[in-house]
Amino acid sequence: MNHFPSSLSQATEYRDAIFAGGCTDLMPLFKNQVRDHRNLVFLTQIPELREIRREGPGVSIGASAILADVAESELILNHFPALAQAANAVASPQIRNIATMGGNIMQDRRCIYFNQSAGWRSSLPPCFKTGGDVCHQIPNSPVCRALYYSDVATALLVYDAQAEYWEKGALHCAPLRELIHRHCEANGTACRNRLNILVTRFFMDSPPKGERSGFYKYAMRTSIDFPLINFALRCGRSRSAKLVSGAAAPEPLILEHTAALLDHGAADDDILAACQAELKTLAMPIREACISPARKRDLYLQVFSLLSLREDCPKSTEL
Amino acid sequence: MGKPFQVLNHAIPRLESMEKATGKIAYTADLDAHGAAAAIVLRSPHSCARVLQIDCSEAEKVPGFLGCLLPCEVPDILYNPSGNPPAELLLADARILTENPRYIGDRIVCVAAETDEACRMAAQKVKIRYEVHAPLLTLKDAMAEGARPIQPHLSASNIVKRRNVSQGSPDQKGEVLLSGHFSTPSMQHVPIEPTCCICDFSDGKNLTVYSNSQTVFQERRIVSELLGLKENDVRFIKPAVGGGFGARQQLHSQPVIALMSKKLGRPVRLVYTREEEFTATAVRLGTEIDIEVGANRDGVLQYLSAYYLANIGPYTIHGPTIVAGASRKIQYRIPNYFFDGYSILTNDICGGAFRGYGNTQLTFGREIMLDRMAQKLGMDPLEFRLKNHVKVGEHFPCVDAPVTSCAIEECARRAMEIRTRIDVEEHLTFDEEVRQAWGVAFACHGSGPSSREGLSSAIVMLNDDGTARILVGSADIGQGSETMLSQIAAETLGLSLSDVRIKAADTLLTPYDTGTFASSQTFVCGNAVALACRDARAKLLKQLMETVPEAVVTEEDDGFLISSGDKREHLSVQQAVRRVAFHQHGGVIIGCGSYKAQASPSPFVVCMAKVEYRPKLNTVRLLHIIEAADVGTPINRLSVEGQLEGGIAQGVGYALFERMERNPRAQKTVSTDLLHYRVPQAADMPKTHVVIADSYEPTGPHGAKSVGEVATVPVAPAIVNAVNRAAGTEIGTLPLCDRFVILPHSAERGPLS
Repeated sequence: MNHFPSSLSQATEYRDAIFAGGCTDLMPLFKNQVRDHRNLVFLTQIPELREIRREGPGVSIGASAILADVAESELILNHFPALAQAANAVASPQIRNIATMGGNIMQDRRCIYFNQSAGWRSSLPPCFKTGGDVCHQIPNSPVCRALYYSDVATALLVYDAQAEYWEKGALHCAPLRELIHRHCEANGTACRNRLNILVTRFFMDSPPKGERSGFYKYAMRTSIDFPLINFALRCGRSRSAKLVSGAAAPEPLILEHTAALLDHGAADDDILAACQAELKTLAMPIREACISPARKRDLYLQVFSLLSLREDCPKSTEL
Repeated sequence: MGKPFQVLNHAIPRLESMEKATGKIAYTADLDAHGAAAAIVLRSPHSCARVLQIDCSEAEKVPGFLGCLLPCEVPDILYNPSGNPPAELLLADARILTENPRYIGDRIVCVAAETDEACRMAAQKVKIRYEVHAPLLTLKDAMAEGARPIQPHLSASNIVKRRNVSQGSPDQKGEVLLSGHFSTPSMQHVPIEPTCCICDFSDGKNLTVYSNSQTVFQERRIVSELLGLKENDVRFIKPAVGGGFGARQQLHSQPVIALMSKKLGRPVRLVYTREEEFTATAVRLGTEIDIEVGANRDGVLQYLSAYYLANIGPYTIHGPTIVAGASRKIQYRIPNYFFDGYSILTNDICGGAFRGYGNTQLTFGREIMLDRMAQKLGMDPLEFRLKNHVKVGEHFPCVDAPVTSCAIEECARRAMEIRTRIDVEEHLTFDEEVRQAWGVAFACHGSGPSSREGLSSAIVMLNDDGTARILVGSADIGQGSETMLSQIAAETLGLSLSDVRIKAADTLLTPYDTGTFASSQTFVCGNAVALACRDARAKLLKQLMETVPEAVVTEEDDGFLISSGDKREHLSVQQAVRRVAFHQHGGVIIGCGSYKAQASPSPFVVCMAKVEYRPKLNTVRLLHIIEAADVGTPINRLSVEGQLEGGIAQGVGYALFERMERNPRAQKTVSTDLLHYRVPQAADMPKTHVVIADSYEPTGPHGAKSVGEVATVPVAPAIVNAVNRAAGTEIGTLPLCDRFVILPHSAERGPLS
């Protein structure tokens, strides 16, 4: 039995439900029989969760806002360009027209051994994500090493976003980074230990005037594909630069050392070298389709695409 | 070349374009098969195993469950599902269902239920217990000393067939000798329409099969033999098909679905999942090829040898024929030529027919070697190739039939014109940061099977209003052959295209055709249609003469001239047919034609690719692809251009990132869906430029040759040659994503640029 609440209060009444946005991430998982499709609570009929609005010193984005709206929102484009670019880089126009912000953040981590049909998986023992006790990627790993491929998360983190969510009957607000960490950790054993959270909104403070920010996604193809790596960068005057990278580990990586070099006006080559070195340390590569570990390391240099932000790219304006 | 064509050599939208664009056309899965049960075929999850037990008891409890078909219930007959006509190279080794799966696509059990959902639920409940064996997935494994033979009744080792052709002396290699090793991956066709069939064998006597088939008559023959039926009792019908590329040049699961239909006494329908499409159909053969090329210092080729190992999977199907097909498609004057090819059985995905049919893999290595030789000799790669290219009247190495048409020089000239214009407009940068370069490759193919076993027939029936109905056995698989054949009929009959209707690929209603493969439709079936139309016109002339015994009747292009004394009367074809149809001495005009291919004239393509390499980032971006093609008379310019563009797209995927990836832990492929296996999309394509050279093939229908396969053959080597020049590498392995970060053509450099 699936549910379509029309208000947030109704939605919070469902216990042990799976909260669903556009279902674009869940549907293939249902087909592959790695997620239960019963007792779904669809959040897309709740008007307040679809809003993108100014709030206090920043903006609030409802968890059911669709990615196409985020990508085209004047508010987001003007003040949080990295987020608009990230939302616009997800999958394809058809997907972006139904996929939601909340769904993108709470997406399942992916792995070539997990994202397969039941028949395909039947020749291997169950992995951590399917109820077993092994990671086929790194068999001696005590935890699942599947990657987290969200584009939107990388961009939200570069703006130090906060997340509002319901958990165990109470409303919470916490740094998004913490929520993503909890989600990614729990998602590694999601069959046994699912994080039962209803994400409602994301908040971001307006960036300081003159700050520049942007997002870059590398995928082998222009549309449809998940990122093989992504970066979001902010840099400017009144606060420190921040560089975030996704699709390189089980959760997004904050590249602090590289960001510090950006603040100190280092040369491009030095920044590229620092980024490569930092990602070599922090990234947790696994086998992915169509790319070898060596080429994945080459991708660490793709941060190059964002270095022009230091010169002439859009600056945020005050809200 | 004579007078201008009225219907041919024009750009004409396909007859079915509107139906396709509006979604009205019916593909097999769209057909309303009254009362059809849903079926699923359960396949082995292991690349090599033995079935110990099959338990359907839980499946039987699922509401809507209708039945299971087990290996013990089907005829224990070995067969070859290839859609080729019977030949020595087609070996029997496949079974309808098996208890000894040799790859992950092997069929174990068929389950049927009232609905798709019930069928899925029932299929999940079937328990199959396996004894798992270590698979031989690679050529190295399969050829290792003492490796277990996968088809022991065919060969004590996994080398199941050898193809050896040669001419000249192995000692005369020329003054400069180069050698190289080349590795190409297995590749999927990825037709957008999934493989599908509906079988009605309810009465156990007459079988009707609707399926996406390229070779309906061969499939009828094989199924008749398997089920002990006369061919008259089996009808294969091909509805609209959403892509073939060779994938449907073999039987898939029609036999098992036919038997399930017989068991249930009702029609049964099977639609493959995308995973089955990837793992249980067929792939382009992966190869390992060693090539030696020798030339004199003046740039004259002297020698080429190829040692060709093909991974054909666990069943022979097309494998040995593909290896044979590769051996004779060398378009250069090479006095000393040696081809030594081997079909190797493995437990990898089944190999099968794929656009290029063995030629793609050898051309890949050959054209890279020619580039290396040109560099070694200090020659321009285009001039080097032209200097050694066969001319009309000459022969390909080890081929007795002479070349009857060849516009390779015009192809080269026109491709160069485009390349020059591009470089004038965009420049050719080569500095520390950005290195751009062009690569070139030539290709040839055939126009029908190179074994000359192509056979087509056609019937043309003229209605009393002068319109025409054409019956042909060849299958339009999305390439536009029905439009093309209708154009040939209209041109030959002297009618407009709108006066022609065509019915194709229904074994009950249409005459025999070997099938849609080997780029044969334009040349082989086109010749049959032209013969049938000429026969109809001859019969029309004869009967018209009988209606006016006192007059002289002369045939003209657009009709007939009746002369009697001073009286002259011109009749259009329609008027003539009408007069004959209703005259007391008249009759019905039915023309027929049968064409057994006596030749397989080669189309030629010159392909150029421009790439950009950034050393610091190790990125490669594909900028432009040019293809200039000699296809003889282009029957439909729009379709020919479409074939060239589609061939380029398939070649781009092959070069950059398409590959069935084997996973060592899973011991099978992980390429099971359209995210794990990447096919280029429109936005990923470079700018493409296609031109059609002026050419005329004297043995072709109205001067036409083929275009289907040749279009894709030179693309990967042209791209790799460009990359090698830009990056200073000597790459001979596909796909390029193993060596470089591939940037989509339209990818933006900066965040908001």
